[in-house]
Amino acid sequence: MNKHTISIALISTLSIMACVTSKSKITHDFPAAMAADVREGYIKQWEKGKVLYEINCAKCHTTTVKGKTIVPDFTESQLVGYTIRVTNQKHEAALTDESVSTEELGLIMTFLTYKKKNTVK
Amino acid sequence: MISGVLAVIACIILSFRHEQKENYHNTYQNNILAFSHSENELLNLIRKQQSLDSSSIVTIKAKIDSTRLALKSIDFWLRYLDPLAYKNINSPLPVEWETEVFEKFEKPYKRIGAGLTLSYLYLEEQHPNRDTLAAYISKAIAATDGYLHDSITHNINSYHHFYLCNRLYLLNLAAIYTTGFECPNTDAIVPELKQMIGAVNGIYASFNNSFPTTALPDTYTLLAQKMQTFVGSQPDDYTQFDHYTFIRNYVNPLFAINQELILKYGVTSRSNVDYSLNKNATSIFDKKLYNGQNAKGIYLRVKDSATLAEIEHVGKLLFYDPILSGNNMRSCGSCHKPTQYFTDTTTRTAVNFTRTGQLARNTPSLINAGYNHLLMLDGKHISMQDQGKDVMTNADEMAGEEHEILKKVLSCSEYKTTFKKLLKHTPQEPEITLEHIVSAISFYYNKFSQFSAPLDDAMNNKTTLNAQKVAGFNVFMSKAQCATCHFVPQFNGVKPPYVGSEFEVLGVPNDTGYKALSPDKGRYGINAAIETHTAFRTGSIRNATYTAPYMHNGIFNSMEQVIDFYDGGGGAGRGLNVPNQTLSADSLHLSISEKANLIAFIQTLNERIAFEAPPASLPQSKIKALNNRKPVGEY
Repeated sequence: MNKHTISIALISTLSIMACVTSKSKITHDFPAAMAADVREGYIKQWEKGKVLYEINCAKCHTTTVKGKTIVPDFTESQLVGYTIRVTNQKHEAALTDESVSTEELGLIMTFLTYKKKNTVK
Repeated sequence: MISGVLAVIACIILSFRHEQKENYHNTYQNNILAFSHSENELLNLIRKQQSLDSSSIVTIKAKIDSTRLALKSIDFWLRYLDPLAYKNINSPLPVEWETEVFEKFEKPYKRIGAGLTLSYLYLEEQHPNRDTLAAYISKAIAATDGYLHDSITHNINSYHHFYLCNRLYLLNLAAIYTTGFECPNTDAIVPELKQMIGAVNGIYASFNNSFPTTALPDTYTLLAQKMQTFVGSQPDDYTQFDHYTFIRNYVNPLFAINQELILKYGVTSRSNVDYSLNKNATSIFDKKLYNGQNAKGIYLRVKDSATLAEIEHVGKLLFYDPILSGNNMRSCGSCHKPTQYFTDTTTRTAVNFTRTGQLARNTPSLINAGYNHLLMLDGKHISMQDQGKDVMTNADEMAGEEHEILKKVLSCSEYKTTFKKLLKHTPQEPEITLEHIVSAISFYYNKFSQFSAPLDDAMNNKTTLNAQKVAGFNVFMSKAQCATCHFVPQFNGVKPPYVGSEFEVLGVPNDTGYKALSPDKGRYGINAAIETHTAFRTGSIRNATYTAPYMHNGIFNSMEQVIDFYDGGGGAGRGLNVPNQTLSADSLHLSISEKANLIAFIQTLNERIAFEAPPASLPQSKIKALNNRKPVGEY
């Protein structure tokens, strides 16, 4: 019985936390060691990358779980720059150089690399 | 009992299917092994020699020739499946500065070549060394063995790679295989071609056997056989080979069918080098064959024609608007004149901003600029927009300043209203920037690159060329060696799969008397290396009739002078000291009629461009002083 109470309490706490995070926007997470002026430049690129992700990638990759928008956490080996154009059949058709430029793909990589992770460590 | 029989039948069917697949896989494997075997024999032959004397060189060259034939049988696969490894098997240069794909993001990197072509050229040098030669071949053997690793052979198990290999093969039949681009022994060009086409037809049969549901149709294989018969009937001398008929009647129609099959079978690529090629182009001589540059810039994703028309409208006004320059007197159109093929044919190099001297380089035509991988004669820029911004802000050219340009442009209500309205198409950039301005400009002038020339019509089987022009094309593709640098179909320095720009060292003189070499260091200024000293990016021959003067410094006024320059072996051929010249210093021995034919052919590359007059007036500015400025400017 006791255990049950604890798990219910845990679940409700977690769901409250989830509600809180769903209201907060997607934020960035740069290494603490990054110098302030460098970070400023990165933030600009990150913001552009975020918009470009919305335009080019979100349709397939962003999911909504219980009203919460989730941009997936990609691994480093998935964020392969312009090679992303040919990593699978859908990309080959959707990410042509007539729909997204190579420079823009770089910005999207910056966004995804420094996006705050969904999973709490 | 019944189920047992069924199982046996199923096994038979499965093993039959398995065998079918095996057929193609075995063809691949056996051919690679045969080539590797020949390479090893060549290596043993080299190692057996005490020294390289004239008789052993003859023996080794003969073995290189026969090994090359084995290579030609598998070039179809090797070149596509691992383009980097290929450069160790058949590189034409000892050192190459890589300008493909990666350079757009990283610094150019040095690649040391190896393999058969290089070995052959090395044997032509004085006192070749046995161990150096052996090292070239050892590297080639190691690279060849890599083609048997799973990382590459897994491609062979599906049909996708086949149609992409075939596309590159057909493009190279048109661009390099008949020109001697990587075949220093010109006597071997046509015999190697005959070997290759026969071998590829064998690959086709093996593929069709293994992949019956995605096979090449009879229309394709029958035409490929006809091509083999045609080439078989041609003389072995590549200067007598009918390059024109070969491309027009065989290569290009086969390319069209292969493109249809790529769409029909849903062929997808896993290779970076395919990104520039357009699956919807049905001719090598279609301007949509590959995407070189992004002319739309920041407006990349705008597709609807009404919005594009608005961008073009402001792009045109800005192109002719001196408001972009530091003194409001010079516009893009001052040097890139719309009445002169968007170059300036009246001067070698344009007057500088302060009118105190001349610029270092000839104004390049903007027509077909977008078909380059890198821009400017030294390849300094990777995008049309970066190039445009550089000219606007360069102290010698337009001497503008970014914030000042933006302020002045937005002081004109017509510009401001339009660019504001267009902002909704660039949500990543919510404020108007110089990027929006240069993107409109590049989009505007790029429209003059969409026109075709008589050669395109002839190659697309709409018309024919007369005998002199055909003869000129054949000289261009063979004896005059033009096509080894000016590749079909854009006749610029971009060869299939169109993801890199090539640079050449020609030894262009500073004066027509060849007293001195031009002091311009060219590519060296961007990427300093022995090989890049005085190297320049290869330009297009299209519209060359109308774009004099020629070369990076505009030193030659006529096409005849240019052809004589090449015929005489460039600068080194005239006694100038050009140790890294990439053009042979030997004479081409062109006859008077061959030169005349060349010029007649080059005229078939004159595009029927619909030029436009500059705008009669420019947008009014809130800053009164700016309203005195004149369309095009006053230079």
